[in-house]
Amino acid sequence: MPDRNHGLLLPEPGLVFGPYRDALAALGEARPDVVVLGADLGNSTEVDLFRDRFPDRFFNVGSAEQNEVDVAVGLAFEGEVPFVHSFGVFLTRRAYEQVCVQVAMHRANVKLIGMIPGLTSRLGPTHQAIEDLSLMRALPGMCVLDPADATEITQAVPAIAAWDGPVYARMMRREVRTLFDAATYRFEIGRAVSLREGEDVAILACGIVLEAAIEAATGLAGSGVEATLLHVPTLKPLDVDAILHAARRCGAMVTVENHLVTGGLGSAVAEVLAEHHPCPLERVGLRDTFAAPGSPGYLFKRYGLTAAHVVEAARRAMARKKGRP
Amino acid sequence: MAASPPDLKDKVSHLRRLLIEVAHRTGGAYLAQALSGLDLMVAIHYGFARSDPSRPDWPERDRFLLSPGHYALALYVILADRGYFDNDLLWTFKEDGSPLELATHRGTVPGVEASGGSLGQVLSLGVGMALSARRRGRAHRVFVMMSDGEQDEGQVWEAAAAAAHFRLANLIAAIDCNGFQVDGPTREVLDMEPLGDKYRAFGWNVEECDGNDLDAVCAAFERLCRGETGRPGILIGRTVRGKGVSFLEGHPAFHYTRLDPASRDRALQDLFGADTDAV
Repeated sequence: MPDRNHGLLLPEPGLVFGPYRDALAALGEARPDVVVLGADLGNSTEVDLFRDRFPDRFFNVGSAEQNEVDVAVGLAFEGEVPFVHSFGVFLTRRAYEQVCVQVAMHRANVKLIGMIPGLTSRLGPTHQAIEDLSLMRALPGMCVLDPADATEITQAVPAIAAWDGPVYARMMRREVRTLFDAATYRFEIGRAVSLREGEDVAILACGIVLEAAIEAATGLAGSGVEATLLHVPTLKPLDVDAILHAARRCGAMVTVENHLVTGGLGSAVAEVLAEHHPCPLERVGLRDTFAAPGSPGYLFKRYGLTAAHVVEAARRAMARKKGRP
Repeated sequence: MAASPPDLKDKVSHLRRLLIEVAHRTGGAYLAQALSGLDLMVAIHYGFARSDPSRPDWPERDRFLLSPGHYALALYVILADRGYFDNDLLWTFKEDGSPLELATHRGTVPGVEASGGSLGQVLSLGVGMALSARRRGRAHRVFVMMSDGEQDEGQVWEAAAAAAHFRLANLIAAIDCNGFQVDGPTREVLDMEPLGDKYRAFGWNVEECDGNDLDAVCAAFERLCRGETGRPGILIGRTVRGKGVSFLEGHPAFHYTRLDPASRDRALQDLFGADTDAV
């Protein structure tokens, strides 16, 4: 049997603690121009190790995110490379105008790191960033990332620093799954990665729910359905070629995201398909609702973001493909 | 100090005349605001900020950040006079395609270092620039010019707290307190006074004076620039909106001002008596 995941995935997922914390501290070592801003969430946004190692390059501005973002822009105008931290909701909802007219409008070299994406927060809808990808994707010139595992986070951090211009990256903290084999996987901004090749349906995923997408693709294979699995960690700039390649090959698409189905990956893929290659698309994600408080596992089940939901969506997409004249 | 107050008074007169003329010929401007804030901006640009128009990116230059972008024309006449760009460009003010936009935008012409159209954000940029200067061991200062109306914005006070917390003695701000905002007198729209007490309570060195009295303004900046206490400094300049032009002074109707030929002549007559020659 051919190796259908290209050797990029580990045979069994692992778990590591705080990959972002270590990656940021390593970046501080490698890049003396990197400065870090915190907003009264040192440990919670995993900036504490950088802070302790590079105190002269760490600025805690208190819980004042609008000021935090614009202070970072002032630093960036002077040639520093600021990494700005808070929970994703506060950087995107509360400081949206600052991100728009100072960061995006000037293409300021500011890196916005939004912690606890989507339904992974335990604090309920005030803390669940479910439309952050949509808000950031709407801004001209903004690079938007949703890494899926610890290996990707470790590789994404230096790539974000090297990227010339503004970035919004969702970031997972504390216990984070390891799905990719660090020996073979190479993260690159703007590149989608094929993890499996099949002709029946293409499943496209970003962020933490990639694991559900992998499980769904494996489950479908067990019942004779061969799925292409495309991991899309960069929502902007989008890897249009990879998406169209999958669409032409499979003719039926499913997107999976820890986010509303509007404005994020599902919308981005729908736009590409509508313009270049119309075909059935099913979107897995939150549907025009705020979510209840709860554990991620509970919420993923309640709002339809599990592997079983991905399988159902794949079957719907395939049925629509067959039903076409 | 680069220039003495008497020289600066001549400069301000020349630039007031230029403001009237540009506002007249180009179909209007936020003229009343530019007139009220001009003395403060001239004092900073000619008297205190070290800069070199031939090297607008000189790393050691003092930064000048204009927060209320609506004061753009006051900055443009200063920059043109100092040689940052050709004087003739002033007559293209707010024409389609002109770099001299109605509100300031960073990157349009040399010397404009911030985009100030959305109020209340630029003090935060100044905090970031001042932090960078200190981290890199550079001695330059960051000057931030604000308006009184934008003190309504909560972000101003986030930045004010941060500047004092980080002991940014290299940050010097000024507020053009002309007493008006879009909907009327600031005391009626949202009373933020006493501004001096508020900034003092936030940990700043505060000076207050008549912001249209150049001698007083220069003396106040002189004290603030010593900055030996490790605090940021702010000059609260009490000014008159439309300073020097009788039909603009203190009148709430002139948020945006168009000058027909008769109004232009009256304005110049008010400012300069018989000497109403065009620039």
